[in-house]
Amino acid sequence: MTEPTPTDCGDDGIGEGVGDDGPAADPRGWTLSRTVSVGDLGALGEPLSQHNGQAIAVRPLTDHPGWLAKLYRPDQRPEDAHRLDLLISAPGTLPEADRAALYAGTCWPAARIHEPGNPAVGCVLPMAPEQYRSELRRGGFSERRFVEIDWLAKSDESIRRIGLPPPGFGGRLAACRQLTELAAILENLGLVYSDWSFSNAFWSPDRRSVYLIDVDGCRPTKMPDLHQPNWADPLTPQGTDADTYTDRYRLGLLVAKCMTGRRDAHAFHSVASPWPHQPAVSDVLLDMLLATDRERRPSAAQLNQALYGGPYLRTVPRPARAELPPLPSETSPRSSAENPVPETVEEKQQPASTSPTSRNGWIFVLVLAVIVVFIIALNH
Amino acid sequence: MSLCLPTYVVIDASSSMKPHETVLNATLSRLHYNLATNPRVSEFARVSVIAFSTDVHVVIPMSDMEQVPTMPEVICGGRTEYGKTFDRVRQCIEQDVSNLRRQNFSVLRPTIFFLTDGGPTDAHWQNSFRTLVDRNWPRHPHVIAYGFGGAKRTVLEQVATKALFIANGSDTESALSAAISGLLNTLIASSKTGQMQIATDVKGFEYIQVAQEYVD
Repeated sequence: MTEPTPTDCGDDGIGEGVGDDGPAADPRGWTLSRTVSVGDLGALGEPLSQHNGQAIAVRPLTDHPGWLAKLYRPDQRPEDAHRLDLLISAPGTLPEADRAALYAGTCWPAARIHEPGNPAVGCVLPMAPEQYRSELRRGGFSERRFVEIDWLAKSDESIRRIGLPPPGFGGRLAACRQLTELAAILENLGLVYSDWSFSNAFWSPDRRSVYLIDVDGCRPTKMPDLHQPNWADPLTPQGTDADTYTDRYRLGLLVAKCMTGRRDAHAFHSVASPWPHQPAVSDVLLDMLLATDRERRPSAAQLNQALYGGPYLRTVPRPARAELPPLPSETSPRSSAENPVPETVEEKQQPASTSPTSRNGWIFVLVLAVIVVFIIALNH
Repeated sequence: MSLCLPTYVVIDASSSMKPHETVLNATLSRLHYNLATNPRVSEFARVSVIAFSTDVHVVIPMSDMEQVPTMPEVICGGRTEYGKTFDRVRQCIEQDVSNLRRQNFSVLRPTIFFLTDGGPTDAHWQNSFRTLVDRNWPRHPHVIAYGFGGAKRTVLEQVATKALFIANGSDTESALSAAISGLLNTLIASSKTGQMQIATDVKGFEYIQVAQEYVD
Protein backbone atom coordinates (compact mmCIF):
# COMPACT_ATOMS: atom_id res chain seq x y z
CA MET A 1 0.00 0.00 0.00
CA THR A 2 1.74 3.23 -1.06
CA GLU A 3 1.87 5.98 1.52
CA PRO A 4 0.46 9.38 0.52
CA THR A 5 2.21 12.70 1.24
CA PRO A 6 1.62 13.69 4.92
CA THR A 7 -0.72 16.63 5.38
CA ASP A 8 -0.31 19.56 7.80
CA CYS A 9 -1.15 18.73 11.40
CA GLY A 10 -4.01 20.41 13.17
CA ASP A 11 -3.88 22.01 16.59
CA ASP A 12 -3.97 18.64 18.33
CA GLY A 13 -0.77 17.62 16.55
CA ILE A 14 -2.51 14.83 14.71
CA GLY A 15 -3.05 14.88 11.00
CA GLU A 16 -6.61 15.03 9.80
CA GLY A 17 -5.64 12.37 7.31
CA VAL A 18 -5.66 12.03 3.60
CA GLY A 19 -8.81 12.62 1.69
CA ASP A 20 -9.91 15.33 4.06
CA ASP A 21 -10.61 17.60 1.13
CA GLY A 22 -14.36 17.47 0.99
CA PRO A 23 -16.85 14.64 0.47
CA ALA A 24 -15.33 11.42 -0.76
CA ALA A 25 -16.58 10.01 -4.05
CA ASP A 26 -17.49 6.65 -2.56
CA PRO A 27 -19.42 4.61 -5.14
CA ARG A 28 -21.30 2.94 -2.30
CA GLY A 29 -22.99 6.22 -1.50
CA TRP A 30 -21.13 7.56 1.55
CA THR A 31 -21.69 11.29 1.12
CA LEU A 32 -19.71 12.76 4.01
CA SER A 33 -15.97 13.23 4.24
CA ARG A 34 -13.45 10.45 4.77
CA THR A 35 -12.84 11.84 8.24
CA VAL A 36 -15.82 12.75 10.34
CA SER A 37 -16.38 13.80 13.91
CA VAL A 38 -18.73 11.94 16.19
CA GLY A 39 -21.05 14.93 15.99
CA ASP A 40 -21.13 14.80 12.19
CA LEU A 41 -22.64 11.34 12.29
CA GLY A 42 -25.89 12.32 13.94
CA ALA A 43 -27.85 9.92 16.11
CA LEU A 44 -26.56 6.39 16.62
CA GLY A 45 -28.99 3.49 16.81
CA GLU A 46 -28.99 0.64 19.31
CA PRO A 47 -25.83 -1.47 19.18
CA LEU A 48 -25.88 -4.43 16.81
CA SER A 49 -22.96 -5.95 18.70
CA GLN A 50 -20.88 -5.04 21.71
CA HIS A 51 -17.46 -5.83 23.10
CA ASN A 52 -16.39 -7.81 20.09
CA GLY A 53 -12.65 -7.85 19.55
CA GLN A 54 -11.24 -4.35 19.15
CA ALA A 55 -14.71 -2.76 19.05
CA ILE A 56 -16.82 -1.74 22.02
CA ALA A 57 -19.90 -1.38 19.82
CA VAL A 58 -21.18 -1.37 16.27
CA ARG A 59 -24.13 0.99 15.88
CA PRO A 60 -26.31 1.96 12.92
CA LEU A 61 -26.23 5.59 11.75
CA THR A 62 -29.80 6.75 11.99
CA ASP A 63 -29.20 9.66 9.61
CA HIS A 64 -27.32 7.53 7.09
CA PRO A 65 -29.27 4.36 6.41
CA GLY A 66 -27.11 1.46 5.35
CA TRP A 67 -24.08 2.64 7.30
CA LEU A 68 -22.61 1.70 10.65
CA ALA A 69 -20.28 3.26 13.17
CA LYS A 70 -17.75 0.83 14.56
CA LEU A 71 -16.49 2.31 17.81
CA TYR A 72 -13.12 1.16 19.05
CA ARG A 73 -11.88 0.51 22.53
CA PRO A 74 -10.18 3.59 24.00
CA ASP A 75 -6.78 1.87 23.98
CA GLN A 76 -6.26 2.40 20.24
CA ARG A 77 -2.88 3.90 19.34
CA PRO A 78 -2.69 7.36 17.69
CA GLU A 79 -0.96 5.84 14.63
CA ASP A 80 -4.15 3.86 14.01
CA ALA A 81 -5.63 7.06 12.61
CA HIS A 82 -2.98 7.15 9.89
CA ARG A 83 -3.43 3.45 9.19
CA LEU A 84 -7.18 3.87 8.86
CA ASP A 85 -6.74 6.79 6.48
CA LEU A 86 -4.47 4.70 4.27
CA LEU A 87 -6.98 1.86 4.31
CA ILE A 88 -9.85 4.13 3.41
CA SER A 89 -8.00 5.60 0.44
CA ALA A 90 -6.43 2.31 -0.69
CA PRO A 91 -9.20 1.29 -3.12
CA GLY A 92 -8.46 4.45 -5.06
CA THR A 93 -5.08 2.96 -5.99
CA LEU A 94 -6.62 -0.16 -7.51
CA PRO A 95 -7.74 -0.93 -11.06
CA GLU A 96 -11.45 -0.35 -11.45
CA ALA A 97 -12.37 -4.05 -11.48
CA ASP A 98 -10.48 -4.75 -8.26
CA ARG A 99 -11.93 -1.69 -6.59
CA ALA A 100 -15.43 -2.79 -7.52
CA ALA A 101 -14.74 -6.32 -6.24
CA LEU A 102 -13.38 -4.97 -2.95
CA TYR A 103 -16.33 -2.68 -2.35
CA ALA A 104 -18.84 -5.37 -3.33
CA GLY A 105 -17.22 -8.15 -1.33
CA THR A 106 -16.12 -6.48 1.91
CA CYS A 107 -17.27 -3.93 4.47
CA TRP A 108 -14.41 -1.64 3.50
CA PRO A 109 -14.29 1.42 5.79
CA ALA A 110 -15.57 4.64 4.26
CA ALA A 111 -14.48 7.15 6.90
CA ARG A 112 -12.49 7.57 10.10
CA ILE A 113 -14.36 8.89 13.13
CA HIS A 114 -12.51 11.29 15.42
CA GLU A 115 -13.15 13.53 18.38
CA PRO A 116 -10.97 16.02 20.29
CA GLY A 117 -8.09 14.11 21.83
CA ASN A 118 -8.87 10.89 19.99
CA PRO A 119 -8.18 10.68 16.28
CA ALA A 120 -9.39 7.07 15.96
CA VAL A 121 -12.70 6.78 17.79
CA GLY A 122 -13.80 4.34 15.15
CA CYS A 123 -14.75 4.06 11.51
CA VAL A 124 -17.78 4.14 9.25
CA LEU A 125 -18.61 0.84 7.58
CA PRO A 126 -21.32 -0.21 5.16
CA MET A 127 -23.94 -2.61 6.43
CA ALA A 128 -23.64 -6.08 4.99
CA PRO A 129 -26.14 -6.51 2.15
CA GLU A 130 -29.44 -8.13 3.01
CA GLN A 131 -28.70 -11.06 0.65
CA TYR A 132 -26.46 -12.47 3.39
CA ARG A 133 -29.38 -12.95 5.74
CA SER A 134 -31.45 -16.12 5.61
CA GLU A 135 -33.95 -17.99 7.75
CA LEU A 136 -32.19 -20.70 9.70
CA ARG A 137 -34.76 -23.37 10.53
CA ARG A 138 -34.30 -26.28 12.89
CA GLY A 139 -36.99 -28.12 14.80
CA GLY A 140 -39.74 -25.72 15.66
CA PHE A 141 -37.49 -22.67 15.59
CA SER A 142 -36.61 -20.23 12.86
CA GLU A 143 -34.56 -17.05 12.94
CA ARG A 144 -33.40 -14.69 10.26
CA ARG A 145 -29.67 -14.21 10.67
CA PHE A 146 -26.54 -13.36 8.77
CA VAL A 147 -25.21 -16.67 7.46
CA GLU A 148 -21.55 -17.03 8.34
CA ILE A 149 -19.17 -18.83 6.04
CA ASP A 150 -19.05 -21.31 8.92
CA TRP A 151 -21.91 -23.06 7.16
CA LEU A 152 -20.06 -23.47 3.88
CA ALA A 153 -17.62 -25.69 5.78
CA LYS A 154 -20.42 -28.16 6.48
CA SER A 155 -21.81 -30.90 4.30
CA ASP A 156 -24.63 -30.27 1.83
CA GLU A 157 -26.79 -32.43 4.06
CA SER A 158 -26.15 -30.26 7.13
CA ILE A 159 -26.84 -27.10 5.13
CA ARG A 160 -30.09 -28.53 3.82
CA ARG A 161 -31.08 -29.50 7.37
CA ILE A 162 -31.27 -25.87 8.46
CA GLY A 163 -33.35 -24.84 5.49
CA LEU A 164 -30.64 -23.43 3.23
CA PRO A 165 -30.15 -24.56 -0.37
CA PRO A 166 -27.15 -26.88 -0.53
CA PRO A 167 -24.34 -25.30 -2.56
CA GLY A 168 -23.01 -28.40 -4.25
CA PHE A 169 -19.57 -28.29 -5.78
CA GLY A 170 -20.48 -25.36 -8.03
CA GLY A 171 -21.64 -23.16 -5.17
CA ARG A 172 -18.56 -23.92 -3.11
CA LEU A 173 -16.29 -23.20 -6.06
CA ALA A 174 -17.97 -19.86 -6.78
CA ALA A 175 -17.68 -18.73 -3.17
CA CYS A 176 -14.04 -19.79 -2.87
CA ARG A 177 -13.14 -18.08 -6.14
CA GLN A 178 -14.49 -14.80 -4.76
CA LEU A 179 -12.81 -15.37 -1.40
CA THR A 180 -9.42 -15.87 -3.01
CA GLU A 181 -9.96 -12.93 -5.35
CA LEU A 182 -10.49 -10.67 -2.31
CA ALA A 183 -7.48 -12.20 -0.59
CA ALA A 184 -5.34 -11.54 -3.67
CA ILE A 185 -6.41 -7.89 -3.70
CA LEU A 186 -5.41 -7.53 -0.05
CA GLU A 187 -2.05 -9.16 -0.79
CA ASN A 188 -1.47 -6.83 -3.72
CA LEU A 189 -2.15 -3.87 -1.42
CA GLY A 190 0.48 -5.26 0.95
CA LEU A 191 -2.11 -5.76 3.67
CA VAL A 192 -2.30 -8.48 6.31
CA TYR A 193 -5.80 -9.48 7.38
CA SER A 194 -4.97 -12.29 9.85
CA ASP A 195 -8.63 -12.84 10.68
CA TRP A 196 -9.40 -15.55 8.13
CA SER A 197 -11.82 -17.84 9.95
CA PHE A 198 -15.41 -19.05 10.03
CA SER A 199 -16.73 -15.96 11.74
CA ASN A 200 -15.36 -13.18 9.56
CA ALA A 201 -17.20 -13.68 6.33
CA PHE A 202 -20.83 -14.04 5.38
CA TRP A 203 -22.08 -16.39 2.72
CA SER A 204 -25.10 -16.15 0.46
CA PRO A 205 -26.17 -19.59 -0.74
CA ASP A 206 -28.60 -18.02 -3.19
CA ARG A 207 -26.09 -15.64 -4.83
CA ARG A 208 -23.13 -18.01 -4.24
CA SER A 209 -21.16 -15.05 -2.92
CA VAL A 210 -19.17 -14.07 0.17
CA TYR A 211 -18.71 -10.85 2.13
CA LEU A 212 -15.64 -10.25 4.24
CA ILE A 213 -16.03 -8.30 7.51
CA ASP A 214 -13.63 -6.76 10.04
CA VAL A 215 -11.34 -5.60 7.23
CA ASP A 216 -10.79 -2.31 9.05
CA GLY A 217 -8.26 -4.22 11.14
CA CYS A 218 -5.96 -4.87 8.17
CA ARG A 219 -2.41 -3.67 8.60
CA PRO A 220 0.50 -3.28 6.21
CA THR A 221 3.11 -6.05 6.24
CA LYS A 222 2.46 -7.51 9.68
CA MET A 223 0.23 -7.28 12.72
CA PRO A 224 -0.20 -8.90 16.14
CA ASP A 225 -1.41 -12.44 15.56
CA LEU A 226 -4.96 -12.84 16.84
CA HIS A 227 -5.32 -16.14 18.65
CA GLN A 228 -8.16 -18.16 17.23
CA PRO A 229 -8.61 -21.75 18.29
CA ASN A 230 -8.28 -24.21 15.40
CA TRP A 231 -6.78 -21.54 13.10
CA ALA A 232 -3.29 -21.44 14.55
CA ASP A 233 -0.58 -21.46 11.88
CA PRO A 234 1.86 -24.20 12.93
CA LEU A 235 4.74 -22.21 11.40
CA THR A 236 3.93 -18.85 13.05
CA PRO A 237 5.24 -19.19 16.62
CA GLN A 238 2.88 -18.01 19.32
CA GLY A 239 3.60 -14.45 20.32
CA THR A 240 5.02 -13.44 16.94
CA ASP A 241 3.30 -11.25 14.39
CA ALA A 242 1.03 -12.52 11.65
CA ASP A 243 2.16 -11.70 8.14
CA THR A 244 1.21 -12.52 4.59
CA TYR A 245 2.39 -16.13 5.01
CA THR A 246 0.13 -16.55 8.03
CA ASP A 247 -2.72 -15.25 5.92
CA ARG A 248 -1.91 -17.76 3.19
CA TYR A 249 -2.11 -20.65 5.63
CA ARG A 250 -5.43 -19.51 7.06
CA LEU A 251 -6.88 -18.78 3.64
CA GLY A 252 -5.81 -22.23 2.49
CA LEU A 253 -7.43 -23.79 5.53
CA LEU A 254 -10.67 -21.90 4.99
CA VAL A 255 -10.83 -22.77 1.30
CA ALA A 256 -10.03 -26.43 1.98
CA LYS A 257 -12.84 -26.66 4.51
CA CYS A 258 -15.34 -24.79 2.36
CA MET A 259 -14.54 -26.76 -0.80
CA THR A 260 -14.88 -30.11 0.97
CA GLY A 261 -17.52 -29.34 3.59
CA ARG A 262 -15.23 -30.99 6.16
CA ARG A 263 -13.76 -29.34 9.21
CA ASP A 264 -11.28 -31.85 10.56
CA ALA A 265 -8.34 -33.74 9.12
CA HIS A 266 -10.66 -35.06 6.44
CA ALA A 267 -10.45 -31.66 4.75
CA PHE A 268 -6.71 -32.15 4.27
CA HIS A 269 -7.12 -35.69 2.96
CA SER A 270 -9.97 -34.70 0.67
CA VAL A 271 -8.03 -31.92 -1.05
CA ALA A 272 -5.20 -34.40 -1.66
CA SER A 273 -7.32 -35.88 -4.47
CA PRO A 274 -7.30 -33.47 -7.47
CA TRP A 275 -10.55 -32.13 -8.87
CA PRO A 276 -10.90 -33.02 -12.56
CA HIS A 277 -11.55 -29.46 -13.82
CA GLN A 278 -9.31 -27.66 -11.34
CA PRO A 279 -6.35 -30.03 -11.29
CA ALA A 280 -3.89 -27.58 -9.76
CA VAL A 281 -5.98 -26.72 -6.68
CA SER A 282 -4.88 -29.81 -4.79
CA ASP A 283 -1.17 -28.99 -5.07
CA VAL A 284 -1.71 -25.31 -4.29
CA LEU A 285 -3.76 -26.05 -1.18
CA LEU A 286 -1.39 -28.73 0.06
CA ASP A 287 1.56 -26.37 -0.34
CA MET A 288 -0.34 -23.63 1.51
CA LEU A 289 -1.17 -25.98 4.35
CA LEU A 290 1.81 -28.31 4.57
CA ALA A 291 4.88 -26.57 3.11
CA THR A 292 7.61 -26.78 5.73
CA ASP A 293 9.02 -23.42 4.62
CA ARG A 294 6.28 -20.87 5.25
CA GLU A 295 7.74 -18.52 2.66
CA ARG A 296 7.16 -21.15 -0.02
CA ARG A 297 3.40 -21.05 0.56
CA PRO A 298 1.71 -20.08 -2.70
CA SER A 299 -0.12 -16.79 -2.89
CA ALA A 300 -3.83 -16.09 -2.86
CA ALA A 301 -3.59 -15.17 -6.54
CA GLN A 302 -2.11 -18.57 -7.35
CA LEU A 303 -4.95 -20.29 -5.52
CA ASN A 304 -7.47 -18.10 -7.31
CA GLN A 305 -5.91 -19.00 -10.66
CA ALA A 306 -6.03 -22.69 -9.81
CA LEU A 307 -9.69 -22.44 -8.81
CA TYR A 308 -10.39 -21.12 -12.30
CA GLY A 309 -8.71 -24.16 -13.79
CA GLY A 310 -5.37 -22.49 -14.37
CA PRO A 311 -1.94 -24.01 -13.75
CA TYR A 312 0.16 -23.84 -10.60
CA LEU A 313 3.45 -22.25 -11.58
CA ARG A 314 5.94 -22.83 -8.82
CA THR A 315 9.67 -22.67 -8.62
CA VAL A 316 11.75 -25.79 -8.43
CA PRO A 317 12.50 -27.63 -6.29
CA ARG A 318 8.98 -28.14 -4.97
CA PRO A 319 8.53 -27.10 -1.36
CA ALA A 320 8.91 -29.92 1.11
CA ARG A 321 5.65 -30.81 2.83
CA ALA A 322 4.77 -32.06 6.28
CA GLU A 323 2.73 -35.22 6.56
CA LEU A 324 -1.02 -35.07 6.27
CA PRO A 325 -2.61 -34.96 9.74
CA PRO A 326 -3.90 -38.33 10.94
CA LEU A 327 -7.54 -39.12 10.40
CA PRO A 328 -9.72 -39.76 13.46
CA SER A 329 -10.01 -43.41 14.44
CA GLU A 330 -13.77 -43.39 14.04
CA THR A 331 -14.20 -41.90 10.60
CA SER A 332 -17.61 -40.49 9.77
CA PRO A 333 -19.32 -40.94 6.39
CA ARG A 334 -17.95 -38.82 3.56
CA SER A 335 -19.96 -35.72 2.71
CA SER A 336 -21.49 -35.14 -0.70
CA ALA A 337 -19.18 -32.16 -1.22
CA GLU A 338 -16.01 -34.18 -1.20
CA ASN A 339 -13.99 -35.12 -4.23
CA PRO A 340 -15.27 -38.29 -5.81
CA VAL A 341 -12.62 -40.97 -5.51
CA PRO A 342 -12.45 -44.14 -7.52
CA GLU A 343 -13.96 -47.10 -5.71
CA THR A 344 -11.45 -49.65 -4.72
CA VAL A 345 -12.41 -53.02 -6.03
CA GLU A 346 -11.64 -55.87 -3.71
CA GLU A 347 -10.05 -58.80 -5.42
CA LYS A 348 -12.26 -61.85 -5.13
CA GLN A 349 -10.50 -64.77 -3.54
CA GLN A 350 -11.26 -68.34 -4.83
CA PRO A 351 -12.76 -70.60 -2.15
CA ALA A 352 -10.24 -73.30 -1.19
CA SER A 353 -12.56 -76.17 -2.18
CA THR A 354 -12.54 -75.23 -5.89
CA SER A 355 -8.82 -74.63 -6.27
CA PRO A 356 -7.17 -76.52 -9.11
CA THR A 357 -4.80 -78.41 -6.79
CA SER A 358 -7.51 -79.84 -4.53
CA ARG A 359 -9.73 -80.61 -7.52
CA ASN A 360 -6.99 -82.83 -9.03
CA GLY A 361 -6.54 -84.57 -5.70
CA TRP A 362 -10.19 -85.55 -5.48
CA ILE A 363 -10.15 -86.95 -9.03
CA PHE A 364 -7.13 -89.09 -8.20
CA VAL A 365 -8.81 -90.50 -5.12
CA LEU A 366 -11.95 -91.25 -7.12
CA VAL A 367 -10.01 -93.06 -9.84
CA LEU A 368 -8.14 -95.04 -7.23
CA ALA A 369 -11.40 -96.00 -5.53
CA VAL A 370 -12.83 -97.21 -8.85
CA ILE A 371 -9.71 -99.29 -9.50
CA VAL A 372 -9.91 -100.89 -6.04
CA VAL A 373 -13.59 -101.72 -6.49
CA PHE A 374 -12.82 -103.22 -9.92
CA ILE A 375 -10.04 -105.40 -8.49
CA ILE A 376 -12.27 -106.61 -5.68
CA ALA A 377 -15.01 -107.41 -8.14
CA LEU A 378 -12.62 -109.42 -10.34
CA ASN A 379 -11.46 -111.50 -7.39
CA HIS A 380 -15.00 -112.40 -6.48
CA MET B 1 -5.84 -31.15 16.42
CA SER B 2 -9.14 -29.35 16.96
CA LEU B 3 -10.02 -28.14 20.44
CA CYS B 4 -13.04 -29.63 22.16
CA LEU B 5 -14.82 -28.81 25.39
CA PRO B 6 -16.86 -31.76 26.69
CA THR B 7 -19.94 -30.10 28.13
CA TYR B 8 -22.49 -31.75 30.40
CA VAL B 9 -25.85 -30.04 30.92
CA VAL B 10 -27.07 -31.79 34.05
CA ILE B 11 -30.61 -30.76 34.77
CA ASP B 12 -32.95 -31.41 37.70
CA ALA B 13 -36.02 -33.28 36.44
CA SER B 14 -37.48 -34.14 39.83
CA SER B 15 -41.14 -33.74 40.84
CA SER B 16 -40.61 -30.11 41.89
CA MET B 17 -39.87 -29.36 38.22
CA LYS B 18 -43.09 -30.99 37.03
CA PRO B 19 -45.09 -27.73 36.97
CA HIS B 20 -42.35 -26.23 34.81
CA GLU B 21 -41.88 -29.22 32.51
CA THR B 22 -43.17 -27.43 29.44
CA VAL B 23 -40.86 -24.48 29.93
CA LEU B 24 -37.98 -26.82 30.69
CA ASN B 25 -38.44 -28.67 27.42
CA ALA B 26 -38.94 -25.48 25.44
CA THR B 27 -35.76 -24.03 26.94
CA LEU B 28 -33.77 -27.15 26.16
CA SER B 29 -35.13 -27.11 22.60
CA ARG B 30 -34.03 -23.50 22.29
CA LEU B 31 -30.56 -24.49 23.53
CA HIS B 32 -30.46 -27.25 20.93
CA TYR B 33 -31.50 -24.81 18.19
CA ASN B 34 -28.86 -22.25 19.11
CA LEU B 35 -26.11 -24.84 19.20
CA ALA B 36 -27.28 -26.68 16.08
CA THR B 37 -27.34 -23.44 14.08
CA ASN B 38 -23.90 -22.32 15.22
CA PRO B 39 -21.42 -24.77 13.72
CA ARG B 40 -18.23 -23.45 15.26
CA VAL B 41 -19.78 -23.48 18.73
CA SER B 42 -21.24 -26.97 18.37
CA GLU B 43 -17.92 -28.15 16.94
CA PHE B 44 -16.05 -26.79 19.96
CA ALA B 45 -18.54 -27.64 22.70
CA ARG B 46 -19.64 -31.24 22.41
CA VAL B 47 -22.69 -31.50 24.62
CA SER B 48 -24.37 -34.23 26.62
CA VAL B 49 -27.72 -33.56 28.28
CA ILE B 50 -28.40 -35.54 31.45
CA ALA B 51 -31.63 -35.34 33.41
CA PHE B 52 -31.73 -36.51 36.99
CA SER B 53 -34.41 -37.33 39.51
CA THR B 54 -34.75 -40.68 41.26
CA ASP B 55 -32.69 -42.10 38.42
CA VAL B 56 -30.31 -40.60 35.94
CA HIS B 57 -31.14 -40.42 32.25
CA VAL B 58 -28.71 -39.54 29.50
CA VAL B 59 -31.10 -37.59 27.30
CA ILE B 60 -28.44 -36.89 24.67
CA PRO B 61 -25.03 -38.59 24.78
CA MET B 62 -21.92 -36.52 24.01
CA SER B 63 -22.68 -35.10 20.56
CA ASP B 64 -22.15 -32.35 18.06
CA MET B 65 -25.58 -30.81 18.51
CA GLU B 66 -25.73 -30.00 14.81
CA GLN B 67 -25.91 -33.73 14.20
CA VAL B 68 -28.76 -34.23 16.71
CA PRO B 69 -32.13 -34.06 14.92
CA THR B 70 -34.24 -32.80 17.83
CA MET B 71 -34.06 -32.46 21.60
CA PRO B 72 -35.92 -35.38 23.22
CA GLU B 73 -38.59 -34.53 25.72
CA VAL B 74 -37.72 -34.66 29.41
CA ILE B 75 -40.40 -36.01 31.77
CA CYS B 76 -40.18 -34.70 35.32
CA GLY B 77 -40.95 -36.63 38.47
CA GLY B 78 -39.34 -38.38 41.40
CA ARG B 79 -36.71 -37.46 43.93
CA THR B 80 -33.50 -35.47 43.61
CA GLU B 81 -30.67 -37.99 43.79
CA TYR B 82 -27.36 -36.15 43.57
CA GLY B 83 -25.14 -39.16 44.34
CA LYS B 84 -26.33 -41.33 41.46
CA THR B 85 -26.07 -38.32 39.19
CA PHE B 86 -22.44 -37.63 40.02
CA ASP B 87 -21.61 -41.32 39.65
CA ARG B 88 -23.20 -41.46 36.22
CA VAL B 89 -21.60 -38.27 35.01
CA ARG B 90 -18.20 -39.62 36.06
CA GLN B 91 -18.80 -42.75 33.99
CA CYS B 92 -19.84 -40.65 31.02
CA ILE B 93 -16.77 -38.45 31.28
CA GLU B 94 -14.46 -41.45 31.37
CA GLN B 95 -15.97 -42.86 28.20
CA ASP B 96 -16.57 -39.58 26.36
CA VAL B 97 -13.06 -38.20 26.81
CA SER B 98 -11.62 -41.45 25.48
CA ASN B 99 -13.93 -41.28 22.46
CA LEU B 100 -13.04 -37.67 21.76
CA ARG B 101 -9.32 -38.39 21.99
CA ARG B 102 -9.76 -41.24 19.51
CA GLN B 103 -11.26 -38.66 17.15
CA ASN B 104 -8.00 -36.70 17.48
CA PHE B 105 -9.52 -33.85 19.49
CA SER B 106 -7.42 -31.86 21.89
CA VAL B 107 -9.77 -32.23 24.87
CA LEU B 108 -10.17 -29.45 27.41
CA ARG B 109 -11.21 -30.13 31.00
CA PRO B 110 -14.88 -31.23 30.96
CA THR B 111 -17.41 -28.77 32.33
CA ILE B 112 -20.64 -29.64 34.07
CA PHE B 113 -23.44 -27.10 34.06
CA PHE B 114 -25.56 -28.23 37.02
CA LEU B 115 -29.06 -26.78 37.14
CA THR B 116 -31.34 -27.52 40.09
CA ASP B 117 -34.39 -26.13 41.84
CA GLY B 118 -34.07 -28.13 45.02
CA GLY B 119 -31.83 -29.83 47.52
CA PRO B 120 -30.64 -33.45 47.35
CA THR B 121 -32.85 -36.16 48.76
CA ASP B 122 -30.01 -38.66 49.23
CA ALA B 123 -28.02 -38.25 52.40
CA HIS B 124 -24.58 -39.38 51.27
CA TRP B 125 -24.16 -37.71 47.91
CA GLN B 126 -20.92 -36.04 49.01
CA ASN B 127 -18.92 -39.25 48.55
CA SER B 128 -19.93 -39.49 44.91
CA PHE B 129 -19.23 -35.81 44.41
CA ARG B 130 -15.77 -36.05 45.94
CA THR B 131 -14.98 -38.97 43.64
CA LEU B 132 -16.17 -36.94 40.64
CA VAL B 133 -14.03 -33.87 41.36
CA ASP B 134 -11.05 -35.69 42.86
CA ARG B 135 -8.01 -33.87 41.51
CA ASN B 136 -6.12 -37.12 41.39
CA TRP B 137 -8.42 -38.20 38.60
CA PRO B 138 -6.95 -36.52 35.51
CA ARG B 139 -10.36 -36.06 33.94
CA HIS B 140 -12.00 -34.34 36.89
CA PRO B 141 -14.45 -31.73 35.61
CA HIS B 142 -15.26 -28.12 36.44
CA VAL B 143 -18.73 -27.66 37.92
CA ILE B 144 -20.74 -24.49 37.29
CA ALA B 145 -23.95 -24.56 39.33
CA TYR B 146 -27.19 -22.66 38.81
CA GLY B 147 -29.66 -22.76 41.70
CA PHE B 148 -33.22 -21.49 41.56
CA GLY B 149 -36.60 -22.19 43.14
CA GLY B 150 -36.00 -24.23 46.30
CA ALA B 151 -32.32 -24.82 45.65
CA LYS B 152 -30.13 -24.75 48.75
CA ARG B 153 -27.31 -22.26 48.57
CA THR B 154 -25.25 -24.06 51.21
CA VAL B 155 -25.40 -27.26 49.18
CA LEU B 156 -24.59 -25.60 45.86
CA GLU B 157 -21.63 -23.85 47.43
CA GLN B 158 -20.22 -27.32 47.98
CA VAL B 159 -21.05 -28.46 44.44
CA ALA B 160 -19.76 -25.50 42.42
CA THR B 161 -16.04 -25.68 41.72
CA LYS B 162 -15.79 -22.96 39.07
CA ALA B 163 -18.77 -20.62 39.46
CA LEU B 164 -22.09 -20.42 41.27
CA PHE B 165 -25.24 -18.63 40.22
CA ILE B 166 -28.13 -18.25 42.68
CA ALA B 167 -31.46 -16.89 41.50
CA ASN B 168 -32.29 -13.69 43.30
CA GLY B 169 -36.01 -14.10 43.63
CA SER B 170 -37.04 -14.59 40.04
CA ASP B 171 -39.64 -17.27 39.33
CA THR B 172 -38.44 -20.73 38.37
CA GLU B 173 -39.35 -20.48 34.70
CA SER B 174 -37.62 -17.15 34.16
CA ALA B 175 -34.62 -18.39 36.10
CA LEU B 176 -34.43 -21.57 34.08
CA SER B 177 -34.55 -19.65 30.82
CA ALA B 178 -31.89 -17.21 32.02
CA ALA B 179 -29.64 -20.01 33.26
CA ILE B 180 -29.71 -21.74 29.89
CA SER B 181 -28.99 -18.40 28.17
CA GLY B 182 -26.05 -17.90 30.50
CA LEU B 183 -24.81 -21.40 29.73
CA LEU B 184 -25.12 -20.75 25.99
CA ASN B 185 -23.28 -17.41 26.26
CA THR B 186 -20.50 -19.18 28.14
CA LEU B 187 -20.13 -21.74 25.37
CA ILE B 188 -20.16 -19.06 22.66
CA ALA B 189 -17.54 -16.96 24.45
CA SER B 190 -15.42 -20.02 25.16
CA SER B 191 -15.52 -21.15 21.53
CA LYS B 192 -14.03 -17.79 20.45
CA THR B 193 -10.96 -18.12 22.65
CA GLY B 194 -10.65 -21.87 23.05
CA GLN B 195 -10.71 -21.46 26.83
CA MET B 196 -13.44 -21.49 29.46
CA GLN B 197 -14.93 -18.00 29.53
CA ILE B 198 -17.84 -17.84 31.93
CA ALA B 199 -20.66 -15.41 31.14
CA THR B 200 -21.12 -13.93 34.59
CA ASP B 201 -23.92 -11.50 33.73
CA VAL B 202 -26.96 -13.79 33.96
CA LYS B 203 -30.30 -12.03 34.31
CA GLY B 204 -32.02 -12.74 37.61
CA PHE B 205 -29.01 -14.44 39.15
CA GLU B 206 -26.43 -13.47 41.67
CA TYR B 207 -22.97 -14.52 40.50
CA ILE B 208 -20.81 -15.89 43.30
CA GLN B 209 -17.18 -16.35 42.56
CA VAL B 210 -16.07 -19.70 43.88
CA ALA B 211 -13.37 -19.34 46.52
CA GLN B 212 -11.40 -22.42 45.60
CA GLU B 213 -11.00 -23.05 41.91
CA TYR B 214 -9.43 -26.18 40.57
CA VAL B 215 -6.31 -25.36 38.69
CA ASP B 216 -5.88 -27.16 35.38
